[in-house]
Amino acid sequence: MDSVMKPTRTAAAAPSTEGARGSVRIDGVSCGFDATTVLRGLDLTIDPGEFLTLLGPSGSGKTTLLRVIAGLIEPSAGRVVVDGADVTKLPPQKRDLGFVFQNYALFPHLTVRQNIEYPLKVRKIPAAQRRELIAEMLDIVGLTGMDKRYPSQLSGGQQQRVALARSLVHRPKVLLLDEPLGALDRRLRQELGRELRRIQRETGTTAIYVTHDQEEAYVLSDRIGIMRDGLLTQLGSPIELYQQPGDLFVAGFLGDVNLVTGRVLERGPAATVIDIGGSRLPCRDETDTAVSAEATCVIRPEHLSVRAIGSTSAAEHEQHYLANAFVDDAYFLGQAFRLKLSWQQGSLTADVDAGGRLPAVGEEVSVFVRAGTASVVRSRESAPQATQ
Amino acid sequence: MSTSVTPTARLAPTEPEQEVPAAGTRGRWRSATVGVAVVLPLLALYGIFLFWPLIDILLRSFDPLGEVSYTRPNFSFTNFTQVGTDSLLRIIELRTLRLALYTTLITTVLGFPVAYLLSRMRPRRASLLLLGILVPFFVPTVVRLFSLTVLLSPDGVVNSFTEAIGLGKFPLLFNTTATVIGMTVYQLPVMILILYAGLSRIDTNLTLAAHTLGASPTRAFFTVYLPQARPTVISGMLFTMVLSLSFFLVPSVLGGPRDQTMSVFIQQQIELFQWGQASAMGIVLLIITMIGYGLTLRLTGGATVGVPTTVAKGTSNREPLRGTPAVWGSRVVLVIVFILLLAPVLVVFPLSIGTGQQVVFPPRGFTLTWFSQVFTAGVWIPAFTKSVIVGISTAVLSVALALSLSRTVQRIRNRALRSIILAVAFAPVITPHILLAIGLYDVEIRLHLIGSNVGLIMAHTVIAFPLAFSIINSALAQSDITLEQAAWTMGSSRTRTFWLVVVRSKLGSIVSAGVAAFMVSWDDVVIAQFQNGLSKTLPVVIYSYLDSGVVPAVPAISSMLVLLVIVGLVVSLVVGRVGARRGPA
Repeated sequence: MDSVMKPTRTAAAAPSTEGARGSVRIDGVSCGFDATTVLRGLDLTIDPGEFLTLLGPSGSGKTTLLRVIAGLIEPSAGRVVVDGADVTKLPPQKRDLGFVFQNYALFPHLTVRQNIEYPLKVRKIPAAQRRELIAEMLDIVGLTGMDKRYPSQLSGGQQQRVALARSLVHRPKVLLLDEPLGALDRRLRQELGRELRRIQRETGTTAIYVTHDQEEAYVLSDRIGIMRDGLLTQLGSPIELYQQPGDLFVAGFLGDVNLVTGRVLERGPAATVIDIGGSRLPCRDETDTAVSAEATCVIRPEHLSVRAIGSTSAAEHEQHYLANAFVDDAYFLGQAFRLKLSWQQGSLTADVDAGGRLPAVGEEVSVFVRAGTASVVRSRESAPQATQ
Repeated sequence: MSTSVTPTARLAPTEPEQEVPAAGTRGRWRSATVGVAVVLPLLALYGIFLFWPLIDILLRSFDPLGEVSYTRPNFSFTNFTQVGTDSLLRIIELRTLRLALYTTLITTVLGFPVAYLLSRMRPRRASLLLLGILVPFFVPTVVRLFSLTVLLSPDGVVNSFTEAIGLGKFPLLFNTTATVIGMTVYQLPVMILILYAGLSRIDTNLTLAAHTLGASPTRAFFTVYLPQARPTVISGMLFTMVLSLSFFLVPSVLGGPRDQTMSVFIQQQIELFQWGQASAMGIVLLIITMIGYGLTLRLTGGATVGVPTTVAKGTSNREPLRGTPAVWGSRVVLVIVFILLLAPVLVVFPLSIGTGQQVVFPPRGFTLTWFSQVFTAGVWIPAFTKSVIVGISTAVLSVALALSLSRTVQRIRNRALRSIILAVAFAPVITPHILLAIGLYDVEIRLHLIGSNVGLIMAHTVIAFPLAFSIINSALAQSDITLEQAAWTMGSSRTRTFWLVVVRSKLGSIVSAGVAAFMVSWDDVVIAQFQNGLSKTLPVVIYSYLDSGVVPAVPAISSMLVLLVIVGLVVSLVVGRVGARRGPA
């Protein structure tokens, strides 16, 4: 039973960043239930104070990874290192972490105050200090005055705040969150997500957040790790992942994409040029696709634009002509029009400015790609359904 | 989930309008009349075979001589004063209380670890073990008691074992120890089922949350798990206590002359035609039982402070139990409980093949003559036939009445009226069987029904109906009204819809209600022993042999009964697995 204050002292004494308070390292962690393998030798390093999101479809192993870090599941192989110390064999109660469960797991027989007090009582913090810490925590999560209520008397959002307060009040080294906003409606999810980010920054706690909602991941994270089949497919900042998806899976998982295939004409230092039915399309490229091999590029719908056939534009160097296409359908989305186009390779989706001229259904148009937005992806992974 | 809840919630208030179509007041009147007509047989049954016997006993309890007069009833408290002050009676009462208390404590101590382990197992394995708990539940009590008399006898397995390891022999039969063991064996399945139902609703994430917050397993158990489990444990204990207080069969078979309990005393008094004190004691038992059930209801109904436990994700169910000493201790208890439950059931097989006129374990020699004697002795076949006829009639009648009442109750929008009806419907459960037995005995003598199958069927339907009703009512309460409405829009009449949509979709529950009602009748000795005419039911015949000395045919018929239960359970499992493929009804 360490006192709450002790970890701070160890943090001050530790020289390397590896030992800094709130760092986590996952070393080749594998985990399996019965015959199925859930994690397959996963490596991951999380920096102190970072907000890292694990994003992936259900069954990709993200919750299992979180539980392995918390000590709720023992991995079959690999190590979990927190603040430079190997905690793999340590039971959860000795790891000094905070964990927010998807269903909050608030103790129904205790009041809000008693719930938040629980980790402090366990650590034998004196009553006066407990009161102070609880008051501070209630203030941070905005529940001052609600401390006498029972969890059943609170709304979903309030319960979520209590769960957060309870898992932060003992100043844990790392805060682990398992889809904590999943049970709430959209508006509340956004509001609480922002608040969660604020509290995490204010307390300077490292946070590992599990979700399958990409929008949530974008808004909250410093970095996002995309998980699939028990492995980390790609790790990077939200912008990196969106603009430079490593493979078709990541591309398809993070928003709608158009897939365009062509032959590699040349590989330059700045871009790889792909020949698509006669058009030259310069693409960003992190793969090692050989010249004259077939390549797949992804283009986001908002990076496509359409113009009447033959019309030229002043900003020619900012747009690359792709092909001609027929307009199959047009929907109004509010901020944009979504066009469904058919061309030589099947169908395309383009989100075009709602202010511009809307082409008629059946009309033939020229399709342009905004410069520097297309990127080549590894194509060995088949993407999930691109656009709906 | 929430999307499917809202439409039904919105439907509920508009439902009365749909109940009564354009016909107006006349339609309203007609449906009310139909409602009353449908419940009329049930009212008659309860009136004649439940309330009349109870009033009869109540009047006798107030008569100093225990006589009953409906025109000039006596009101004296002599009998009750004696029940409270007579030193012999007080010894009996305190003994009954003590026995019930021991039984409750032992049952809880053994039942909790087992229920806990079951609640943490994978559902498949848990249901397999629950089956092992259910087998003894379906074997007639007299059979299990017979086995216990053999196992606990001076030359029985237990004493042979203790002698072999040098502890010597213990007097285990016809005393308090035997009674407590017998009552524990009887109550354990019920206790485990009650606790299992409650404990499996506790969110395992709560304990995990306590761990992540820094609590040790012991601390998490006492500060988080136990507070969640407390209402279930207390209601299980109260239920066991109340049931144990009015126990008749176990103390009568396993207890010695000095282990007379209140129920045994009542039966012995009636055999001597001494109605006064027996009636007063029966009424006292009834009042204690009512208080006990009242407490249980309050505990389970009112004291649930808690968020609606949302079922956690699959990971928590797979959360393996760590091998702490407490878990290992629980596993040991699990083994002990299974030996306690299954030994009395399985020992009948070796007993039934032994040669010689004495029933001993381990058996000497090998013979199948006792099985053939069952078919030739002339006492078993008629008893078996009578039990089957009475049991099936009870089942059919109970299910029919349960369907009619359930249908009527669910149309009643008035909450107070509905809870009154439900309370009355469950009244036989609260009534100690010995009290009902003597009341029925008296009433059926007046009606010249005593000894007839009809009389026994009516008596058994009274005690079996509440069980069938609770199963069917909860099944019909879950039936989706929109299914019926859909059928109406397709032109199906109400009667037709009821049979083709409602009854068909709940066939599983209706069958289990029938089986439950049959089992109540099949197991009963307390009421049936007062209804002996020319023929007796099977359990009563076995019981009379237990009283007067066991013949070797008893283990033979017992093993056939156990075999019947095992076959029945296997068949129901197979049918259930086939039925499950159709998807949820």
